[in-house]
Amino acid sequence: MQTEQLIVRSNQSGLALQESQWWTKAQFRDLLDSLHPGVVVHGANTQIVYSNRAASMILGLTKDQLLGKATSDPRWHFLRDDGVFMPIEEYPVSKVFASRAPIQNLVIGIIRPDLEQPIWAICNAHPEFDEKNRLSQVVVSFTDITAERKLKQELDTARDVAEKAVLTKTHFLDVAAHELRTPITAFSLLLQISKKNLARGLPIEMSTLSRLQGQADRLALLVVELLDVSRLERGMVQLKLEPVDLIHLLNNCLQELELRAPSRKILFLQQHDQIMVMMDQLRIFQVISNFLDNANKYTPVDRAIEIKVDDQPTKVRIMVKDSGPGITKKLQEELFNPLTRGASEHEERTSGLGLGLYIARKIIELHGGAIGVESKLGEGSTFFFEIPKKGAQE
Amino acid sequence: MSTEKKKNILIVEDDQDILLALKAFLELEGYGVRTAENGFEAMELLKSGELPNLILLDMKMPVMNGWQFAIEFLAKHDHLSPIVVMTAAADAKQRAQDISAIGWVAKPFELDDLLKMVKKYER
Ligand SMILES: [Mg+2]
Repeated sequence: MQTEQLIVRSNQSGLALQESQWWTKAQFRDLLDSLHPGVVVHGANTQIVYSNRAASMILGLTKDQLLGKATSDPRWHFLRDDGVFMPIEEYPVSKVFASRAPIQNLVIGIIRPDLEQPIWAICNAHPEFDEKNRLSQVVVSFTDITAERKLKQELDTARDVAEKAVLTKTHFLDVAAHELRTPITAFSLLLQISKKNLARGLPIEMSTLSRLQGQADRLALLVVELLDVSRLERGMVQLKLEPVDLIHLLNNCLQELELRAPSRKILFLQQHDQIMVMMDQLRIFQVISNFLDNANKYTPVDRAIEIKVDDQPTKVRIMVKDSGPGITKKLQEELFNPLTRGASEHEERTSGLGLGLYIARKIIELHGGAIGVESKLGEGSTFFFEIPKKGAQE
Repeated sequence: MSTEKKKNILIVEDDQDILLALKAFLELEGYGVRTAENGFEAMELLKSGELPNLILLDMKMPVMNGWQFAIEFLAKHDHLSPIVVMTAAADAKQRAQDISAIGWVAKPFELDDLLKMVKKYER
């Protein structure tokens, strides 16, 4: 089959040709150049004998550069669908020459020396034979699917994220159920022992009622925490910003801790009388209390908790140092995400929903600040947050 | 009542109310009860006196949790005191198997059911 003598009757209305007209070689070439897929024809000696305009666009080579080229040029590489480099013997043209069989809809990546990202294409290649059944040429066509592939990858990523979110929520429900069961157990056991005592003619003690009240309060707090997260995640929390003396606030938090843990030693090196900061007082109180509670939980009874304030020109930094067991690097990264108190269930160390630091992060982020932890295993941890001081000093 | 020596139970549980209720109940049932609020305290407590006839073990505790306690206890005392796990986890049985405990109760539980467990497994 020779292109020059090839004559085709067109019935395509899109081409400005009359029904009865014969096609010239130039018109035929124009047709191939107007196609969206790239077309490359390799002669029997594997060298390229024809390529259209789309082939040049996709491969990044001019027609002149393409013509005469053999199957491989070391500066161009092909990738498999999974992104792995394709060995030369797997190249579509090589395979067709070797097997004399066509290739259909093979997804390949094309790495060009001039582009950082590969071009992705669906490739078809088929052999043609002469009258003596010798392979005369291989016609390769390929369609650029880079954009579609990118879209698909984005969809895949979005789906993975969504699936992970569902898993997190499921895990969250597990943990929430677990945490709610603990005060319920205490509640139930206190009632059971009271009933047994009553049956033996013993009165219900005031202290038991206080304990029941305490567990009911704890349940209520867990529910508040759950609602808080839900509202923060939906962006429903509005800060009530006002100038507040941070030192005064800190002292209030420490007084409250003293009520809960009267024997706890606290070191607060007070170098400032007053630091005015724009903040939502209740919310920052919540963050500091969370830091103090954690430090109190993880610091052995005979050790102290240290508080430091670093007053800088544009921001203020609050640090709470515990002498707990310390936190691994991996866990440090996860600590401010929901439900990652323990890296695994075996590392769960204490009760609570594990939402405190996540809530704290959200609150500090709403203030335009930063939150974090510095820790070494065996050397305790320092939790800190900083918030900008803008607008509070007038 | 019985002339037999009192059986001893060690309760390891970080919730003080649960601890208190269990202690009161088991003492009412004639047991000697020792308590610890976490695994570390329990290991310290076991350094002196006899090994308990049974250990009731919470899993989630600060300082040293149930898993860590079980590992240390088994390494030191093997299975000399049977361990019964008390957990609020959905897969209580799995938790018990994880630490090769002899039995488990899922929180919340009935005191009478717990007593059956104790009687069944105590040494
Ligand atoms: Mg517990």
